[in-house]
Amino acid sequence: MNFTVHNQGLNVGNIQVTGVASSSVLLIGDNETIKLSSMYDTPPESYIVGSVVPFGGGQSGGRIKL
Amino acid sequence: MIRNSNVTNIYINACSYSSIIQLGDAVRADPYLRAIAVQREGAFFDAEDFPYEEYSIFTRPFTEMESIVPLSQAHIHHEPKINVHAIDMEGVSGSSIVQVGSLKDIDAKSRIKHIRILARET
Repeated sequence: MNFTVHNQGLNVGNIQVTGVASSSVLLIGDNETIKLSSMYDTPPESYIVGSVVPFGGGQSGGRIKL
Repeated sequence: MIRNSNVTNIYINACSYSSIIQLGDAVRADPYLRAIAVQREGAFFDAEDFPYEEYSIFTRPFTEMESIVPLSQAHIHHEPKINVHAIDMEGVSGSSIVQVGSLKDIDAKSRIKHIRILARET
């Protein structure tokens, strides 16, 4: 596939954005390749009620009391 | 041939967590955010208690594009300008980029997770 682009200038008045977050990009200009990957993930283990055994090698393991 | 970007007014209130505000051209950017975001009721804890290795989302490989599709394109800039009058932003956070200028390649990755731990009602 081949295509030709004729640019006659690009004029934007105002841009109002609350936030640009988590590896996002707001670009005013040219670009060739963009690759954006994201994972979000809130499986059951993400909502815990009651006592919790601290995961992993946290040295401060004994400090948490619920 | 790259166009010129002109911005008359830019207002950005905050720029945090290794974010970038770039005025000018760049070639390559690959921002990467991991995060976890724990919300816990009535206890103090610190980062070591939630290591990334514990959760598969942080070790799972990202899906990659198999092959770059061969593409022939021609850009003819009769008016090589990109003009923006005003930009009004509150925040740039979490390895993000706000750029006025060209940026050739972007390869941005982000993961996050969110954990909520509530105390049992006794």
